Amino acid sequence: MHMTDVAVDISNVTKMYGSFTALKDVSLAIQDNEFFTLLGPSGCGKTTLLRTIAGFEDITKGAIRLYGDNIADLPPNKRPVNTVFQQYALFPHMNVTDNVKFGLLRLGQDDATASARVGEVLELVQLTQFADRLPSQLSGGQQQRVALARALAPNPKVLLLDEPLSALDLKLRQAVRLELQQIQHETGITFIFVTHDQEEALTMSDRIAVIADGRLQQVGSAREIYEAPSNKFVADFIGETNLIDVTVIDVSNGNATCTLPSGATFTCPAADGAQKGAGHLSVRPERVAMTKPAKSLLQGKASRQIYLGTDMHVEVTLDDQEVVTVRVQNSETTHIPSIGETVGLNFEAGAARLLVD
Amino acid sequence: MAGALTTSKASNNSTYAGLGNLLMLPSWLVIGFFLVLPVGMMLIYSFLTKEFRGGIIWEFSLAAYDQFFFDRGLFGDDPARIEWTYIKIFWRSIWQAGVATFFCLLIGFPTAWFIATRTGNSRSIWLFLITIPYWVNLLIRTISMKFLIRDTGPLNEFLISTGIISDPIHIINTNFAVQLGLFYSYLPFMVLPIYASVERYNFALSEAAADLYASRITTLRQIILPTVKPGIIAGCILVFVPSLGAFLAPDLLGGAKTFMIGSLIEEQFKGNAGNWPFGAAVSMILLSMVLIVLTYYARQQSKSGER
Amino acid sequence: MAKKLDIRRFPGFLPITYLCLFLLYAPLIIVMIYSFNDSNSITNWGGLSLRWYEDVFWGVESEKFKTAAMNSLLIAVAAAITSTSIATMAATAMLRAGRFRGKSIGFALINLPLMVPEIVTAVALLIFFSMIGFTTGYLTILLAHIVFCIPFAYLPIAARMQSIEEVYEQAALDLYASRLDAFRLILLPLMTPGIISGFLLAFIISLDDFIITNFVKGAGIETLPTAIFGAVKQGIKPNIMAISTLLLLVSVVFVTLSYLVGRMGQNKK
Repeated sequence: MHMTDVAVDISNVTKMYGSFTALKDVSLAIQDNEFFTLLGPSGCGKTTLLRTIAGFEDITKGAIRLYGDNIADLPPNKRPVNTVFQQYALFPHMNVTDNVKFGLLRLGQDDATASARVGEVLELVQLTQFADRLPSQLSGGQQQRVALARALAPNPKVLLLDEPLSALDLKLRQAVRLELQQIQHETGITFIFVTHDQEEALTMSDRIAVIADGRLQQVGSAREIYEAPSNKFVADFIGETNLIDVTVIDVSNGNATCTLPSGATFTCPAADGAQKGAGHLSVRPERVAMTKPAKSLLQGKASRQIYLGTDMHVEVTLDDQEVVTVRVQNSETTHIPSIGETVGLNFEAGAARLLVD
Repeated sequence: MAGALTTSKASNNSTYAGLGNLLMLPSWLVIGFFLVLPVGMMLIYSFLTKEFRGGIIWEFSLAAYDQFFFDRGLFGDDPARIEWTYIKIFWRSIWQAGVATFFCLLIGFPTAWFIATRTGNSRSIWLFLITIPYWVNLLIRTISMKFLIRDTGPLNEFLISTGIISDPIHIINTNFAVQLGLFYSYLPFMVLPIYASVERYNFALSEAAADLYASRITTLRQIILPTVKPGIIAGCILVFVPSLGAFLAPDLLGGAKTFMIGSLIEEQFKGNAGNWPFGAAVSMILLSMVLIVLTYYARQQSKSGER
Repeated sequence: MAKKLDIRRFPGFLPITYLCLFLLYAPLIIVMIYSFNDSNSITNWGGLSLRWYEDVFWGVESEKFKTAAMNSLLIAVAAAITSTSIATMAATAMLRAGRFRGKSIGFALINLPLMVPEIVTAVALLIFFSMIGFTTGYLTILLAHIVFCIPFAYLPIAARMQSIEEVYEQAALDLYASRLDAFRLILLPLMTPGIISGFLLAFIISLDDFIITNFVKGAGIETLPTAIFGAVKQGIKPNIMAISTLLLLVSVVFVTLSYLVGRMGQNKK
């Protein structure tokens, strides 16, 4: 990888609020022209990280480089990055045009140049006919696009988006996702997107960084993070998973051999750092199959059925009282065990992964 | 905990961080120079010696405070006895202010409660109606009261013409007139803070209490009063403190018998007494009393903040 | 059927509220009515007339009251402008400058004029001005008024600023605005209703003040309240009631304006 391909280089960033550590030793390299997502539960530090890049939070330790230049000590108005705020923060006393023009004028552009650029950007977000409206006269979706236009107008090197879709309703949110991706492709600007919504992260991003408790948990593509989570937290946070207690008896070549609660021996891929001893096996509910007890890895009794519409969850309580959830399609042909019925559970080696804590 | 966290967040990265003292400079200059410093000088003044025919001599003296507390006879050489004249004036002021405060609370609490339990527009209109008289010139309000309660004023005329009384009730120049004046002057001060605390009160708590078999009186005593207590205390202080040092009500509505601290002080500077160090000393004593009340209030506030 | 228990309602609170309003307004309304009395005596009713208003504007004492009113007006405008500017800066320091040394003592300082009894402030200022040899006059009145108007101007300004999220200024900084631009182009326009409210309240407070003015005014200089007080000392005359009514109306108009401006700002949000 070439140095200049890195748009934002975050190295060993720590942020303290008094004695509280909001970010602990975070290192990340965000590539040029990438749609990069910071994902995590609320309060995990993802917004703090975004705000350190924007310049609204100073960092306690570490460095932030933008295309090679250290920007950690620059105030926000000296950083060539722009932000789309969570509640948009459109200036309520200015119309759409003046909002979008604001940054251009502050950069010293003359009015004609700025106006031309405003026209361009409003066209990009399809708001040309709303140029004279006040923010309060726009719908939530339109406000969101004004915020995007305002942040894109100065042609920032990196665009920061702080949960920009969270204020929209579900239908609109799905439409805007596609639009955002498209705009990112058209402009070629690096997007750093913060969200707590895993579905949003999985569908939009080139790469995702999962953050919890101020620490970076895993960085990778949507598929990597979903299918090869590096630890228990990631497996649990992204989608749903069963975590089965196992005893690891051997680890070699990235594979682990372990004993299941039923006593059966099972070999599957293991996360980095897996060791002998107690461990957790992660299996997604949709990758578990119910069979006859005789030919299965695990056995238990169906203890609960949860209706989800297109699918159903069947909870199976194993002999050691652990509960494994199985996702089955909700159709006439699927056999759904009744409560108390003894069932066997099977899964492929490729569907399971041994995790570290 | 979470709250503390967000405030520290905001404060570390505020828009005008580092400019705090610069922005406060004008306030410091104006209030520091024209209030803090003058009060300091007043303190010094209260320890100076008075000269005959007004004026002062720059010589340290406890005479002003001595005059307040002790009576040493006409020539100042009798053994010191406690001087009751000024203590009585203070005591009367406290009593008058206390009575006014009590009646303000009696009327103000139900009013504040009633307004706070209105909804939307009607609430702000009620509130507005209560605030307007406060903004009307205090002097004019006191004059109005004086006009109303004169022996030959509209109140007596009305009562006589309706036959309720045959001779005018003598109100003006009594303690009651002063109490009425103080009550009338500062009633809005009682309503507003109580209103604010009732408005903040979560009525789901009352419902929960009623659900748990509490009677209305129990609910009022155990649930509502503790929550609105800070508002009541604030209201009482806002009425009591200005009443204590009031000048207009005792001067215009009262007479010689209703002399209060404000008139005593005024007399030292504007009137015939002309004893500036003594006036400064009386002012210092008044200020100290007010500060004691306010400190007590601040303590209460921080205590309820901890809860 | 059992009556539904309304926990918000206490019997008798409505009549007391009406009583409260009655007590507050009755004396003012009676004075207003008597200001139209066509009689030389304040006691007897002699029919409706505007003669006492004519007397206020063109009568024997009219020059005295006009001069006093002009003094009051000029001082109130100057005091309100100055104290509003000072209070705006102070509110920015308190709400937008984060933590700094002297913040809490600064907050106490702004509220100090509210804590010190008026008569004490009056005495302290009189002593101070005479001690430093400052000739009492317009300037001493103005300075005193600025001091006690600051907390009144501060209240609506700070309340308004608190309701404006700081994210607007952050957005401005993000869009390359300097801090001065963020203040000038974003915070100040959004603050306008609060600043107008603050100005109007400060104006009324200055216009209304009697006690402090009475102490620090120089010989021969009168504001409207001190002139009225001086006249009342000779006994209430009908023209006083006309002046009082006029001053009362000015206060009501200003407070209503301040209230409406404040509401306008809220509705916009």
